[in-house]
Amino acid sequence: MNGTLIWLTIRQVRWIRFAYLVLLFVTGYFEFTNRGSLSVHSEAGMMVWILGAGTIGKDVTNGVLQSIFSRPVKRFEYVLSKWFAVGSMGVLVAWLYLGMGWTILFFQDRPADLTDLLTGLIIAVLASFGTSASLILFSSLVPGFGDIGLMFLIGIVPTVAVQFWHGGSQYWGYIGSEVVQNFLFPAGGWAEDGFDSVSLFAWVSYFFVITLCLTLAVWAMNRKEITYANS
Amino acid sequence: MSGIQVENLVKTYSRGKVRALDGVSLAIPSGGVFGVIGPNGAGKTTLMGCLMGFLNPDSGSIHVDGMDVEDIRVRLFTGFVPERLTFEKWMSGRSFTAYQHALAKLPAPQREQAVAAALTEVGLEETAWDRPIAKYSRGMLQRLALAQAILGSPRYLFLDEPTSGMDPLGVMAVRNLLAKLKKQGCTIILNSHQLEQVDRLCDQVVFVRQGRVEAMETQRAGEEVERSLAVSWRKLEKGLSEAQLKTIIEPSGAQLKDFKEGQAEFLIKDDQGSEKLLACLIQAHIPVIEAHSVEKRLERLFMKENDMEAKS
Repeated sequence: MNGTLIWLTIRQVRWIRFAYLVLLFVTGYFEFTNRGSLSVHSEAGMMVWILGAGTIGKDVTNGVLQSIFSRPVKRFEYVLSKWFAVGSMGVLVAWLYLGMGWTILFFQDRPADLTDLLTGLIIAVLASFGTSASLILFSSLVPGFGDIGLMFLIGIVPTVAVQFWHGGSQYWGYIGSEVVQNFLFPAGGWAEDGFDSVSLFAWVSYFFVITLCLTLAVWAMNRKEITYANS
Repeated sequence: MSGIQVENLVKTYSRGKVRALDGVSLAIPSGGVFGVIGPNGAGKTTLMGCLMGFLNPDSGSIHVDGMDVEDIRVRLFTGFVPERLTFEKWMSGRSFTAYQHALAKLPAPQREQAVAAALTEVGLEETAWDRPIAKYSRGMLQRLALAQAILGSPRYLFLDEPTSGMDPLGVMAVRNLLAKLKKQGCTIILNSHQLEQVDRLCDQVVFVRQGRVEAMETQRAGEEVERSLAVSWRKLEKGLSEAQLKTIIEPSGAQLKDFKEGQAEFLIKDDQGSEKLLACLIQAHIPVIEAHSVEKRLERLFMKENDMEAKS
């Protein structure tokens, strides 16, 4: 990993994205108030989407890859740095979000268990780095913010399709939908039940998805030809 | 082995339908300025892209100082100025140069000094160093591009149209900088449409057309070479024959290339040759109205290739 590229990726985040995060925090306030429990999995995924959308795609569109790869920077170093930067930002914001939830519950006289809080903190890490890997893969494939569009499309298609299927097809539709969700938001197995009921399969599948996404992203970057941006 | 060796480089686009480079072979010696010229769409930028390892050629090989161009170590001693200056616009000139210094894995303790030295070297005003790049003019961007390229005194400098959009003073400053870098032993590969600049700076010039190297000229940078001078004069009452004109210009060493009443074109060897020719004409009381250089050497290269194309 390259510290300069990690720093660059963090600095690339524009203020407008923080406005979207504020919206997420406002929704979270009501969520914590009503639900009364700490949960962060899907929110961490959303935060990664907001902070990391187009992280590679925008570099391609803006034509800045030339100035990076004219330097002694390996492409896998670039991909891993992007993944780590986006994942880390996701973790930080998700922890802030959890902190807000814990504070709300504390002042409502129903403080969360320390175990719940710790579980939440760990899930935030797993979900952020998992979603970041998936996002980096799509960002390496399509320019601009196409990654978000592509992920949204892939996520929504099976969910919509199962509504029109019946019998056996519907069953396989649900399975397919779950697989897709686990691919887009790895760490799905921990979302509802914490760590007690998580199987070895869930761990293996989590690390498999991350490895697969990053390997494919590096492969896509290695094949990418750096031409001049459309100016 | 020092220098750059390009062997039988082929690069196609659109699944082989467009042949951007068609078996290009070059040997670029180290320590000089190597110019790449050619018409639009000739494949110059594709060649530059392959030399920088940005594009994957279909076949052929490129070696820089004996190392494959894909070898990451090559990037430790090369600098690059792209044609389109697409940098991180939110950064300031200073922070962008510092960022490039860090990416180049140059020593951090000397970063501040090295950045200031590079920005000063290219003549970017100090008041602009902390301004966002988005507010830079084209000329300022060109200077910034050069500043980041010369960080760490690279052994090879790849310049893709480094002075397009620059004011004349900027062009002169860049020319002086490149001459200085050349003296320091830097090998410069220059892709430019500005033939006068290429003519003045380059030791070797390659003419690329339709993805092929059509001609290569070796010269001493800025040396004077044979060219044409067109001269017009007010028609003489008694007239002037071709034979008379040849006798008049004989002492100057110029040769008569084309003759019409009131105008002629001469082949001269250098600037002194033009002076001598004009002196001979004036001494013979020929009322010269105008004299201008018809074409320069590299322009002739273009013209020659175009003529060949027309004939074929």
